[in-house]
Amino acid sequence: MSDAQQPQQHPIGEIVASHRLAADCVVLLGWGAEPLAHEGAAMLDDRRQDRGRYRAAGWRMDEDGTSRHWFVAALRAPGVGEAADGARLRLHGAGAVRPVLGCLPAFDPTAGAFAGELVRRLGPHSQAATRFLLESFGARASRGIPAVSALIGAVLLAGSEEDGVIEILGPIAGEGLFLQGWMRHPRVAGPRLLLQGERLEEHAAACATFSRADVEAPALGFVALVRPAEGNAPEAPRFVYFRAGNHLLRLGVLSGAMRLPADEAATHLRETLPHLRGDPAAERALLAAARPRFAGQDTVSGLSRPVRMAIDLAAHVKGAGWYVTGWLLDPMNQVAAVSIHGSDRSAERIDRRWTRVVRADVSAGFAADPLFQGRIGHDKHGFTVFVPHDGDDMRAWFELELGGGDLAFMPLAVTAMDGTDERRRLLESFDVHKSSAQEIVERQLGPLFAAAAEAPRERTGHSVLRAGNDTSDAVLIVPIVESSLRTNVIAAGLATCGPGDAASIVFVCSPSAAESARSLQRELDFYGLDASVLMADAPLDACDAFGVGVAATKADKLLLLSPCTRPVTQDWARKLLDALGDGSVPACASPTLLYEDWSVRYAGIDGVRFLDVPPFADATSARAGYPRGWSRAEAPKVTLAASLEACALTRSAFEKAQGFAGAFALTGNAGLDLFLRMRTAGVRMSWVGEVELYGLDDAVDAGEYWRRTGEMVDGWCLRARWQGRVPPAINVVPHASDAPIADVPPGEPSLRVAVSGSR
Amino acid sequence: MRVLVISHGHPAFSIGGAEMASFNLFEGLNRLPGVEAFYLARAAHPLARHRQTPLMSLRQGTRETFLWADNYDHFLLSNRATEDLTGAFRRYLLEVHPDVVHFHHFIGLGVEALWEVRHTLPEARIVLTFHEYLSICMHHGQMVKTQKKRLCSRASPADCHGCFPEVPAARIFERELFLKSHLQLADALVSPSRFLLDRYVKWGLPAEWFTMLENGIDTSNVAPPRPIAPGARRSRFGFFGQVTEFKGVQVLLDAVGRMPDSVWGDDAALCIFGGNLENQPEAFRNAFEALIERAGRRAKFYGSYQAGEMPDLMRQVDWAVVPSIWWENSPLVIQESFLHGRPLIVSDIGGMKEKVTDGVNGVHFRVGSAEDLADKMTQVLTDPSAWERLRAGAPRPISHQDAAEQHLALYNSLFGADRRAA
Repeated sequence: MSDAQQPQQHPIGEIVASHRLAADCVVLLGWGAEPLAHEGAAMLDDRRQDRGRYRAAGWRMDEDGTSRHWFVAALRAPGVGEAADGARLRLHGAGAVRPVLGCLPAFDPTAGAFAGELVRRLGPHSQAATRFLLESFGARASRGIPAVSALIGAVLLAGSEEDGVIEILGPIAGEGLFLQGWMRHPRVAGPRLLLQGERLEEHAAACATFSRADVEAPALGFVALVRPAEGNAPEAPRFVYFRAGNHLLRLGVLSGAMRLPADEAATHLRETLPHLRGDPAAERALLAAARPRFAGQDTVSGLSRPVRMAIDLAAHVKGAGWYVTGWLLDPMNQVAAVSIHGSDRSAERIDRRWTRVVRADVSAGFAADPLFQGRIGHDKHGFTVFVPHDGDDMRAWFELELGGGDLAFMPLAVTAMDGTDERRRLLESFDVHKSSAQEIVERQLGPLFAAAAEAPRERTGHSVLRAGNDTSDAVLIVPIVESSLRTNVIAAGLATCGPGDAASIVFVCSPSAAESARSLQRELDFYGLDASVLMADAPLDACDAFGVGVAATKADKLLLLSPCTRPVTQDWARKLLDALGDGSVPACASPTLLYEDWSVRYAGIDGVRFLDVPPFADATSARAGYPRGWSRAEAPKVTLAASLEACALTRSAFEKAQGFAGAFALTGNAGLDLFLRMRTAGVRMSWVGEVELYGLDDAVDAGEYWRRTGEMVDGWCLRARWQGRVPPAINVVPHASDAPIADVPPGEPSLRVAVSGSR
Repeated sequence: MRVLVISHGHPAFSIGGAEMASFNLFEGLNRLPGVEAFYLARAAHPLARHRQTPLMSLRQGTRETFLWADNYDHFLLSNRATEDLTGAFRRYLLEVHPDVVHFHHFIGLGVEALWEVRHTLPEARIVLTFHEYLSICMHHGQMVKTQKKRLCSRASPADCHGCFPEVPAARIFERELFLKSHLQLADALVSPSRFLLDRYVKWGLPAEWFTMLENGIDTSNVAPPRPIAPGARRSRFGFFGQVTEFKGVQVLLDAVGRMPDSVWGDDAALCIFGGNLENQPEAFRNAFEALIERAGRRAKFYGSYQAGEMPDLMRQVDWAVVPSIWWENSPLVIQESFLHGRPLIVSDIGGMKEKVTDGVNGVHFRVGSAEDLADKMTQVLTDPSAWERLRAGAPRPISHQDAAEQHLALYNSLFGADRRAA
């Protein structure tokens, strides 16, 4: 619009004060004959091409019989902060017919001068103007932009009423900032306070008052706990502001205020508690903040009461939570509650969720202690508990609530247990022979492993120790994750009965089996085996190793082979891969697996049985234990699940199931879970009976304790994930009709096969 | 034809049947026209390896070389120092470039040595002679149970796990697969006895891979009968071999101790020629010494001997006793006894039973039974015609030369057809 087209009659008005916040931002105080719209366009008259915006609040005021519409405006336009005194400013409100024109006065040199002018001109409306500026700039002020903070501070100071002082202040660890003083008017502040110091911050607060003889009525003593939503206690302020009705009140912090060290503020608050009056929520918050603080020391061992405690294992599993085992000896029931507290302020009662464990050794150890002599009536002092926890901060301690409001603390030396070896240590943390074992699995370790499985998993990286030829359409992946493996046996086996041209070979090693990786490379060189050797960046189990291998390769068809599985024929790999068809359909196939005594180890899976007792879940493999050749199948047959000890699968099948879940301790159960998910996703699953491999027990480690307990925990996890959801199984027992290879869609039993449903 | 004979030991340093047989073959082959034989023996502790190379000569013949190998996995019969196989051993193979590589053992060298030969010399024929059951049996290859030393007639992961409960059956099977994957690289397998051959076939190696070839011995020097006065008895018994529990010397001493004075008389004696006692378990040493003491004047322990001494030692005895409580294969002492016309008294099992015909060229007694052995010794001491009768029935053993010729025929046959696909 040209000047010629602009209305020639401008409303009467004047900009009486202005303050520069930035080169493109100013605040204005002025009036007009007509109300200024709350927002609109703004521009300097000589820079119409640089249009800006403004926001404003206004009030009608009658002065000497004349009505004037005063306004405060926050304005952002290019160059406005650098405009010369007298520069013409055009404010065109949204929906207004005519703009307001005015000349910029000289900028007030200080925020205080502008604030003083604002209070003087607006009188009773100055607090509303202050609120407007707070809404417009409060967020920026809290970020500490000096000019804005100065403006808001000056406006607050000018627009608020002094109501008292803060005399004592100090941080309370994990809670916030404690303030104490008095206020002139008996109005309870809150629930939010504005703290003005180097920055302006607004926080929730729990406030209460108390009587003081040293201040004149109706003034009252005042305490507040400022509780930031996150992070540490706010810095000590110079002023504290709060709203009471339409009033903005101010408490100044005395220059000689007592500043309490971190541990003393809570003690001071605790001593004040009996005299405080506030709303119930505030009183509860203050009570909680006033409790004794954990100072890093074990205070249980020094109790004069017959209460003792020790921690055997304190672990934190990322994405799952804390897992703690130990014992609490409390024969006189002195402990009312036990809770775990995290440095991130998380807290959870554990005595409502823990599993108590018989610990006769604890009874025996304290039987002669004068404090406990004759008082120990049972042995169930042990405990095992899993506490879900989302955060990464694993620092924690136990808080014991004792009769009479006393508290005692037990520090926890928490260890991160996210790796494979650490998970095994967790599995070794309970005694399978004790009656509590089942409950520990069902209530503690099972949920822990299940929660860990749901947590996002970081992909493990790898480095290439030995580069082989990977031009085949298929890749054979062999995990080397145990240091006890005889790599010469593995290499010799694949050198004589390897996949040949059917697949390239990739070994994926765990750093925990670094020595095996080194010897493997030597053996591969000796036997002249063309194979790649990858070293994972972090210790991993066989499933994770398979995952690394899959991610590190591009072949459309995969062969997964346990290092304990021994091929004995030349063509096993080709036949297994052929069972996948052309690879266009997601498919998976396993061969017959035999034990060393030539009995059947795997010949298809025809169902999963769920139990109320350990092992909780049990996959039934058709013909398992039968003599080799009992009923050798010539053609591949549909089955419920393949075997991770040896299987061929399309990459699409692996991706459909989204790889392995992290819930399982043992490879076999992780594999069953994977194959059930594949099956649920419609992946064709078959058993190739004519191909025979030897699946040898990982006997070097079979006696390891964690495997026994791992079976229980895995069984629980399988039951939790699959009970009532197992896709239809194909019964391949000899007397049933042997169905030819064909897929059975999930949930749609075939008429030709027997379906064994899950409980 | 160039033949490389490989043995786990050189007889100059280690007296044993396999060492002797392999060295005799090496010498016999070298005497054949058109044959050039080399001998590679394993060396190990207490010999020290030279810093630069595991190969050494140890002042033996120009065609006799040693390969120092002492990083050995006794469970898998595996050589952990594969770098020596791919290094010095490979260079040696390429230097000699034999047409035939004949392993007489791979203890200490590891089954990987077969792989290395096959890899380095793909056209060479590999022959392997078994001397005991080491591939089958983890108990020193003796096929004797670890508990109570009962004889074992069948190896399987489950059976062997019974002998070695600390080794899972799966690992035992893994060992079997590992060994077979290397043994199958041989073009021919040789057994000096039908009994041993049958054991390996029963273990799973195809019978058609085997050839039975007896070991040859030095037949140039035959000991005459021990001179005795007219009417005197053939009453001197000899034991030849390593003094170990499995050789049954304790059974023999026990038997001698049981014999009544009226039968034993003043003229009978037992002469024990054998070494290696110092390397036996203390319990066995103590038991042996107690038995020697108990036998008193009836038995004398002469200690170890060299192969060349055999004719002289044979001169001192009339009978040879082979009381082994393990199966044996084809003990050289049987061939030696036949050569020198000393009838044998042997345990009635395995290679001993196969090589000695009861009542024709020797006498069988129930293995491990001192009582039965005493009976049989009484029988021959009280039958004045037994010695002459049984001596007359002894077969003529084959010489080194005969054995070498038989082996050469085998080697030639391997070149007559395509090499067996491994």
